[in-house]
Amino acid sequence: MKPARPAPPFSVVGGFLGAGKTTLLNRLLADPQAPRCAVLVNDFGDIAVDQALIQSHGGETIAMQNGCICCTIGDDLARGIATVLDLAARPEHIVVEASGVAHPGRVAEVARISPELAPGGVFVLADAGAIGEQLQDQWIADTVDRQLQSAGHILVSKLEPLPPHHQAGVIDLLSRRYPSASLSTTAEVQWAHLLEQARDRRRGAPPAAAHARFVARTLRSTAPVDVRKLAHWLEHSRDVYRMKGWAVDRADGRVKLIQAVGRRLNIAPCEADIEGLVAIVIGNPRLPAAADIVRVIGARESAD
Amino acid sequence: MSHSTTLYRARRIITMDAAQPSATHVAVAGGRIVAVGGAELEREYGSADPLFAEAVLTPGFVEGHAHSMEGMIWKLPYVGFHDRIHPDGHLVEGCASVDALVRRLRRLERDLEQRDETLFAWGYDPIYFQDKPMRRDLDAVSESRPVVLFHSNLHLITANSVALQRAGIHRGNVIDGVYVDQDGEPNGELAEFAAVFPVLRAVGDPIFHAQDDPEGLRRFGKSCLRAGITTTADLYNSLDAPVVDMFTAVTAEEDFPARIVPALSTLNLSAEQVRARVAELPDYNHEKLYFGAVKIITDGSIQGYSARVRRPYINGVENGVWCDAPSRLQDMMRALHAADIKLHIHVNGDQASELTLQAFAEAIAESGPRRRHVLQHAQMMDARQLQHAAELGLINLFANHTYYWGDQHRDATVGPHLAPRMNAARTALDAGLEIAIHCDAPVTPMGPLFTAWCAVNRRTASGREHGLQECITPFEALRAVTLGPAISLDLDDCIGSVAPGKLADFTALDDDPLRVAPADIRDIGVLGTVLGGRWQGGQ
Ligand SMILES: [Zn+2]
Repeated sequence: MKPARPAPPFSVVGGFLGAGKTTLLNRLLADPQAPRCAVLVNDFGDIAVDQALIQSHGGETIAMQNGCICCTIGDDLARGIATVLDLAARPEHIVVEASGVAHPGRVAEVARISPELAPGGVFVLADAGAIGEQLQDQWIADTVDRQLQSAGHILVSKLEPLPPHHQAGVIDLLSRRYPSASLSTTAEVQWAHLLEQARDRRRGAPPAAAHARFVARTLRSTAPVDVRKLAHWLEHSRDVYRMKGWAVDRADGRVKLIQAVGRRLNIAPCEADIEGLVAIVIGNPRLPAAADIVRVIGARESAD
Repeated sequence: MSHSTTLYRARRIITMDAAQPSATHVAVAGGRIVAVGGAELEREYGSADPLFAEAVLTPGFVEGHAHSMEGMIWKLPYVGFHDRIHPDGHLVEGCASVDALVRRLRRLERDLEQRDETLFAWGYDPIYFQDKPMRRDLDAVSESRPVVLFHSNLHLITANSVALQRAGIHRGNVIDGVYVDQDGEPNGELAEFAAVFPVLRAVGDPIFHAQDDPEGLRRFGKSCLRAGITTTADLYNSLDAPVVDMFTAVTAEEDFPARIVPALSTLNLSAEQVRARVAELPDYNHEKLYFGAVKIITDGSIQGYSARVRRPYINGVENGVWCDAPSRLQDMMRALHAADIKLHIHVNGDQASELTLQAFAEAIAESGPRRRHVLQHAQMMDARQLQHAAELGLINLFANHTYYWGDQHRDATVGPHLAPRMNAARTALDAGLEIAIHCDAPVTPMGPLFTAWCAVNRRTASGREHGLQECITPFEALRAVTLGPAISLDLDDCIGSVAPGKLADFTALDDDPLRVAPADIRDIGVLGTVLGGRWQGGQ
């Protein structure tokens, strides 16, 4: 039997071809804050981290200055995982890139039964500009849907370049279709986020566990919102890091784009096809539940 | 190699050469066929060697779709339902009941040398059992060492309690791929990566490095010889450097009994990388080794519910899985077609064949006709798709699954309306397609005569008739295991028929497949084969 060593969290990053998995993994690999992690990717060809950050480059492994390693999976995921588990310095966290057609939830399940791995969450990326069509596509709709169904956390990529009304539509679509997943944008994801997911999953606690550093809430309402109240709440909350949302303002019946970074708040009229409110709020674990936020700002219905 | 001419006389030679369909004499020199004809050849070449006087010679059988894993996997003991011939030639009796299986495993268990060694076996297929053997049955084999059965598809395993315990699998942590009994206890059956990984991690994976095993390849060669095969595809290979070196060395051994046509797997490679590999691999080619083809897998299997189908599976199982993003699969096909590379495309479900036909229609429109690519398995293609394939100049290979899974397809996968239409060889021939039929070993045993019997008779394992409108004639079936697959492998310039100038590859049979009753084709015995003029049978 293998000696008992701490089981590293095992996170799976999935999403269809082009969803931005590699961009995200490149960023996480290069992060100086990264834990001593192993990232298993399908193909080195796509890994493009700054050469200065690379310590050594072996056949199937790249070692980074920050202590992370990146390995190719080849045609055998089992072999890849076995290899990193057998390293003398066992990684503190294992992140696997599921292929663009894989079912990331199925892959992640291994951590629920293997004593050598701890559950570290299922992150599924969705390309904001493509996801609507993908979910209707004759060849891939069911594959993409299956991936998102299995997500604990949906990360929306490439959201910013879209016109506001389109952004709102994407957030609305995803939060409606996959209500049990939390939702944020890839731009917001940091190691802290992955680690926090891992801790929560291990204890079976809800995302707002005490020492989580980062939680996401999706707000939705079918009724107009008091945008002044919303602004007031955003300005006075110490728990919000970022917020992006679209709301029909009860005051004038117009649609507003609301963006907050820390205390900086920006509200502008815009075109978006929504009924009441669609928003993502990222904050610390003291952030109230979505329903409570919605109640505070005077809207009627919500989902988290 | 001697260049003197040898003249052989046979009871009959079925040539697959339209210019002379039937003969009794064949003259061979320097490993090639010099002349084919009747007794008149004795005037030119002297008296004939009577070695095959009682035998019927056919062109050496060509297996258009098998895997060298067939040889590698025999490193483990076989415990499947059907009798199977070991590559060494002895019969391994099937385990047709749970009792028989447990008895066999107990015997194997006693032979293990180390106290803690895991007992592995392969070939077991649950669909043949009403009461499947389970964890408890395997516990009756051993309660102290792990016992692990690989199913015939190699994707599932059944494990005993010791193996489950070591993997940390118990009723408290059951996931999708861990099957449970009525009481919620894991019953020992495990499917897919997430469930199988912890077990093989705990007890060791015996087929981890199978692809590089020279003994495995030698066994594959022997399996070919037993079945009368002189050329076989090895239709999915990573062809890493150690594998290429091993294949090159082993196939060049003087007594290696078959020509091997490995196809490079495109998995995880870009079209550019595939082109680079294909450009260098043929440097290793010799008369028994032919690199250069490529295999693209689009979907899974129908019996595993992983094939991509246009209409849902009848029991509500969700649609199967693509092996890569459809757009990438199509891009790969177009790029490699443009590069004039020979492609074998695995398509089981009809949505996968549709995707592939669409890609080739575009590829041919862009780059013009090039090689004739092959749709492998093609099990669910209907008349319209087959017509389209014919227009595009493709070649179709069909599986012998009518026998092995026909009943299951009718009752559980695609249903009674579609199942009898599967593997539509008659419709394909009528559409003008060149066809071949295959075994896909180790999925089913190597055996062109059995595969031909399946296509001629279309009976399922339970004896049911299975879409008789798709039966083909014995002659068509024999062509589909000789010249047809030779064309599918682009080797019909040198093998596939008995004709002057071709390699002297023959299969010697103890009866005539075109003259016995069609129902008896599978009972014809293989006496041995001639490879490049060299007799290598004669037990
Ligand atoms: Zn195959």
